[in-house]
Amino acid sequence: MKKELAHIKRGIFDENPVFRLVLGMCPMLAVTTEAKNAIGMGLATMVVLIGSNCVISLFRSLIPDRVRIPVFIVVIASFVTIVELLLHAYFQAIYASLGLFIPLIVVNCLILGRAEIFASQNTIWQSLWDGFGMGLGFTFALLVLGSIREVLGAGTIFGVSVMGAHYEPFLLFVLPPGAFIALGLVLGLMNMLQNKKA
Amino acid sequence: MKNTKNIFTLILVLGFVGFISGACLSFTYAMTKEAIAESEEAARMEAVYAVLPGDEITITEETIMIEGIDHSVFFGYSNGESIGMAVESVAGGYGGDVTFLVGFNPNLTIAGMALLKHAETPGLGAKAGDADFLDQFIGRTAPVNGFKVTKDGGGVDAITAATITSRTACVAATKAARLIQQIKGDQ
Repeated sequence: MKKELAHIKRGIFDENPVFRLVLGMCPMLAVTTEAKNAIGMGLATMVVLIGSNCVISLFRSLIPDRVRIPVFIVVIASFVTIVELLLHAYFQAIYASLGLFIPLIVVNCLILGRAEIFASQNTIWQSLWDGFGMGLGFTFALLVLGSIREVLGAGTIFGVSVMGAHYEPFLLFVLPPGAFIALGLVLGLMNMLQNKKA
Repeated sequence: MKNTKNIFTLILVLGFVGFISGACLSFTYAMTKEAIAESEEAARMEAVYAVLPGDEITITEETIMIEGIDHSVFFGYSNGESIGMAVESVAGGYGGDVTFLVGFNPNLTIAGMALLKHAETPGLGAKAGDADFLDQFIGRTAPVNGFKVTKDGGGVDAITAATITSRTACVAATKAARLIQQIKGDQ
């Protein structure tokens, strides 16, 4: 169990996909305008990540080295499409607000990255936990950025007003440049904490 | 990992992976097809009830052809009396076509509006579905030049940082109003 917990800690802190590996920037920029969307995207990505990690790990000895990337992409794309169909069928509200970004999970380099770095070289059990940890880390990072941007840019969190009626929303933060600025500040903060620890 | 260089093995593996994934997708599609159609229909009917006034109403749907195009029109009745109509209205937005459902009172003022289908930016244009924005249209009739955002000299407050989508909503509301006038005129 210790090893499994280590995977989760690694995914959230030591190798956080967004804050440390700086992977998956496209969805990060796109969906972190609201905390709610950030969670939806994070969880959808986690499901795909766990699924693709398991399948790729399971068949890792059968996949020829030279065609591994196309195989990974086909597996990932299939999982994304399945998640999209399921969301559309059973979670209409989330689908309506995220619809456009779900297919983009396919090109999230975080998922291909984990397939290449981890799942293709580790057992299915370890890959499952790696996917879970990385997915949690991704969700956590999106939630942090989504919260910062929603609070500053719209004065709300999860749609609930928190900054008072007189707050003039700092619009820049819900626009794309705000995503870069917020990410830069959080990355800087993470590095500062890291340096202090060392 | 196997380090094979035999091209036929590679083709076979890729083909097999594609076949399996295709099979999985067809299976999921077949499994979810009905649920998807149901949830879309449910969302549509929920919107119809939301944009028409009154609580205990019955809805009938009719397809009416106007200027060569079929339109789905929803008629609302309460105790046998007409309490309004709703039509779908499509206009070009920031990320493709945006479909609204617009409900009208019998006197042709807008009774309610709902966002049905869109591909606008979450957090920005997607706010066109929020009550804060759409409620502005309630009780109004379309001006002669159509609804316009304040920036264009109209009376509709645009969503912050989503003027294009706000204009889309104005166009859709105007289109719907014209359509309803024609339907009323034909009856």
